[in-house]
Amino acid sequence: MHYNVEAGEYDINSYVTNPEAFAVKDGFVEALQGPGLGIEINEEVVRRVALTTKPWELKGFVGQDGGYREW
Amino acid sequence: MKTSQGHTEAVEGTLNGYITRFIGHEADDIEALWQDAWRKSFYRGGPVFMSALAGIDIALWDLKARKLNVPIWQLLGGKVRDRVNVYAWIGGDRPSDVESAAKERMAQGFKAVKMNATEDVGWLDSPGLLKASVERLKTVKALGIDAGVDFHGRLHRPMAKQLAKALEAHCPLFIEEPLLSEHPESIKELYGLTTCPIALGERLYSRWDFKRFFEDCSVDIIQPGKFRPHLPGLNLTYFFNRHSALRWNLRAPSYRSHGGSLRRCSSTSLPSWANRSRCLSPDRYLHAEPPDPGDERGNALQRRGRRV
Repeated sequence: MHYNVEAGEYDINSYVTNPEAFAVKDGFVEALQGPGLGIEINEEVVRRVALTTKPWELKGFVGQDGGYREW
Repeated sequence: MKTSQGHTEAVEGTLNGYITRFIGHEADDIEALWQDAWRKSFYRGGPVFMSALAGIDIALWDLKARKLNVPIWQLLGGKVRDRVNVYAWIGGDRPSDVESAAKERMAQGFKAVKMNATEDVGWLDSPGLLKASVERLKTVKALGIDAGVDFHGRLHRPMAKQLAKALEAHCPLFIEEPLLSEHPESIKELYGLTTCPIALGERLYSRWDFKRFFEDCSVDIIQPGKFRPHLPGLNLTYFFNRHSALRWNLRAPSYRSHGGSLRRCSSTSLPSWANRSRCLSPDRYLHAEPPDPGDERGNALQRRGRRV
């Protein structure tokens, strides 16, 4: 997720072998043309990261009065 | 597969259950599997079950289309548009932060961004807190691009209606989750109070969760995020393609991908799998066609002066 700053450099392009499919030009992304989703998952990377990464921890807000707020 | 943010272990557990249940199931019978998972579960819906089910659903559509060697959209009636309009998420709490973040997105090719409206806000807080939000929107708009403002369900009604009003003059592309989805009656009221287009749906998980909002005509931009983890995948897409045309005078064939349309794309923080992929489905941009004369709902839309 975009707010998962703990992921560091990992982003969507880290998990696919055809990141060019997401290229943005003048505000648009071209319709994907490949078979299926048109996205080629790098399964080796997905499996490795899944094994070595801790689940993202939920965040939250607490007000000055100690009450919980919406995140 | 991406699992529900912050609840990955729960989704993995659900998936393990589905694996046991569906091994040996015919992979091409996607709808049958979906209905099995839904109707034979007794407890169903919600972010955990639906994240797991969406993952399986999307994978099966991908598999089937690959087997036939066509893009998935060929199985859904073919594509309407050649490209989709996208926006990117930006962070930053100060105007100077959002300005530099927005410039980065512009350099990446984006013409629109989305940002959070506020940090945490009390039920009834100082109205002064909202000024910063207005300043950030003005700053980004001054760069010549559009900006959606994500309330993120953080504000409660007393503050949300003030912020919607304050932003209105600066024409946000839309305001997202101005109130939490569990308050449909308040969202309906807010809809009547503001001309800001309202986006909602990130925390709605099935077609039945969306039903009330369609009936109320209280949301301008539905955000089912079918590729988001907690939604029932393409199954839901079909529903929206049909239902939105019936209920909203938003016509399926009029989905457009350029200015003049109600843009619905992703909060891509160029890089987020879930958000990014939300942009890529060909049916996401809903365009409000001129309403049919005499149609009460349509006239209401017109009176509200849809600017998009």
